Amino acid sequence: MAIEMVDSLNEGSYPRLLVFCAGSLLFGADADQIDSLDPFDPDDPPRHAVPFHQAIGLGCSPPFRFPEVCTISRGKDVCRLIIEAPEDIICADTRLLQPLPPLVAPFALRRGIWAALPGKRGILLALDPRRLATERNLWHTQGDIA
Amino acid sequence: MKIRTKFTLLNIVLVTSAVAITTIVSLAHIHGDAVERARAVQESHLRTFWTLLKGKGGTFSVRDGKLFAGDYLINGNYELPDKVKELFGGTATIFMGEKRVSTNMITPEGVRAVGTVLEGPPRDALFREGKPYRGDAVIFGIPYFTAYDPIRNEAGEVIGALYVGVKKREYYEGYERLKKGGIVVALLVGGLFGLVSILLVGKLLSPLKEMVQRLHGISDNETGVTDLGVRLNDDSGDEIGMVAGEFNALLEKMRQITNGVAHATREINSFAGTISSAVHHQASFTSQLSSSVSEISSTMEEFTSTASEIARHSQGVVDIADTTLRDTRDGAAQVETLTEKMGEICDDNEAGICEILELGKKSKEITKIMGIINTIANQTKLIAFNAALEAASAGDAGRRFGVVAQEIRRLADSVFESTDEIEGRIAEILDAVNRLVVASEKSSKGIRDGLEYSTQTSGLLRDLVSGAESTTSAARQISLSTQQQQTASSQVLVALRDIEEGVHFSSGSIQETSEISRNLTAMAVQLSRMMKKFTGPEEGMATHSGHEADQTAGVV
Repeated sequence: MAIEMVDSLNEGSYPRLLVFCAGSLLFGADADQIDSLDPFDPDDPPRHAVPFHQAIGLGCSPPFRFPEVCTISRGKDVCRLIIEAPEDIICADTRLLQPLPPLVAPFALRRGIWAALPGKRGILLALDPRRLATERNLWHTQGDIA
Repeated sequence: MKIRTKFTLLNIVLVTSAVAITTIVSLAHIHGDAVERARAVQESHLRTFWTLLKGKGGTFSVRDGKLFAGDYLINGNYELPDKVKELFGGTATIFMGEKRVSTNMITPEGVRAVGTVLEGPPRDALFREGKPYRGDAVIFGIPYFTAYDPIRNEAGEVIGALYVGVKKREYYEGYERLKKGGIVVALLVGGLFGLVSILLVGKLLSPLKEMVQRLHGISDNETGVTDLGVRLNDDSGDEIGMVAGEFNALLEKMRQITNGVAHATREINSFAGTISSAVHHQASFTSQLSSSVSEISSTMEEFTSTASEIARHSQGVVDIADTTLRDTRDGAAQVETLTEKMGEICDDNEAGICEILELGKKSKEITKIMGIINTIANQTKLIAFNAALEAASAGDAGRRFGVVAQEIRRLADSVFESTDEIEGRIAEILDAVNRLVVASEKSSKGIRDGLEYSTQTSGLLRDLVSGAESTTSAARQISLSTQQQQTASSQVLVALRDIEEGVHFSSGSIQETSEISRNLTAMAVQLSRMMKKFTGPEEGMATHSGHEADQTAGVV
């Protein structure tokens, strides 16, 4: 599944976004903030791993099909979000990025969502994972996690 | 004619007849003696005549047309006839052939009867038969005792005849006198005896006369009443007295019988009334019976017609029942076959379901495999993502590596797409398998239900066959019973017609009985009226019975 709006790999100045789904919404997380993607083992779930839709406050969400653990780090702090398996990594054209309306921007920023990118599949919400972890207080030290 | 007269006449007739018979017998005897004496005298005269003639010549011949005795010429020679007359009286004649040639007979003209011809039976006896003749003959109107002998020549040929005769009157004179005297005596004796008879019979029948007078007293011609109390005088002790006694006894018996008849007449009147009443009731009952029998006959005719219809329909029912039984048996056999086929189908379906379930298992296993492949592809993609993240972190040095990672990620996506497509197809297969399983389960359930229904239907059909057999048997029994009923109703109808005919006959008999009863009553009335004509010690009985008879006749 390709994100046709950009071809980020050939444009090094454009931000690269890791595209994944959460419910019916399409999110694009800043790939530069993601340390790694790991498979999620339900029998041995990682400590302090939070489902993404809970973290962003979407409420109930259908069960994951192919859950993966996205790891974000800030110094020694680590945040682990359980997301649906990402679909692609795209390079977003900044000219196409649309700022959020002022009315909803404060609320969206508190969930790490900072812009919107219209596309054929709908609107892709640009996500700042570290801000989300910060706003939602999802940071844990690595020792606690290990 | 009175008995006295009859007895008198009878006595006169008897005495007269006895005298007459005695006289007639005596006269006949005398007459016979006279005839015998005349015959004997004639024979004597004829022998003498022959002696005299043969004394003239021993042979007889006819020469030159004349008769000779030897040489003694007889023609015109009256010596011998006159000699005979001189000796004995009477007549004598010599015939040459059939012609008198010598005779002492004198014709009414007073001349000798020479040349006359012999005729009648003497001629036939003499000249045709050659036999002598004895008998009566009328010569010149005078009856004679006659005797003829043939004269033969030497050749034995009859050439003439010799005759002597005596007048009957000469021999019958004494007989006639005696006859007249006898008649007179008979009349005298008869008259005398008649007188005596009148006196004796009158004396003897005087009790009978008295009896007749008494009997006249019994029956009164004016009133027509017969007094049975009258008794005759039976003191004479003779047969008339005995007859009177018997008659008195007969009168007593008649009186008793009359009383019995009067009583019987009353009984007959009573019975006739009873019979008439019974006949009337019987006629009414017979009329009702005839009407009822006619209605029953009509009903039975309809019943017979209905029975015929039922018999025909019941035969149709029997045919239908036979057809139903046959079809039911065929149906039962077909259902048995169907049950077997359904069992086979059920088994096949169960096997198919097992195969489908096995196919579903295989598909699920494929799905698992596809899950493994997806997991591998996901891990590959995850590695590719991580490689791409690492390559991005590496800057330009990792650009080529990032391209490779991107290609690997795309390859993983292709695998995903393929596995998705395969999973979709497998899901479709599983859906189809599930639907097929469901449908097969449903079909299997339907088949099992069908098998169960077929089994139940087979059982029901077996019961139906048994029921159809019972129905067929019952229908045949019904048909047979209906036919018997039809026959019975026909016989009943025939019997009813006989009864109807008998009722008609009985009605006719009742009419006849009624007529006879009326006639009996009329006869009883008539008998009562007749009994009124008999009186006696219980004379009131007859009168009373006649009165009752009149009353009863009025009832009838």
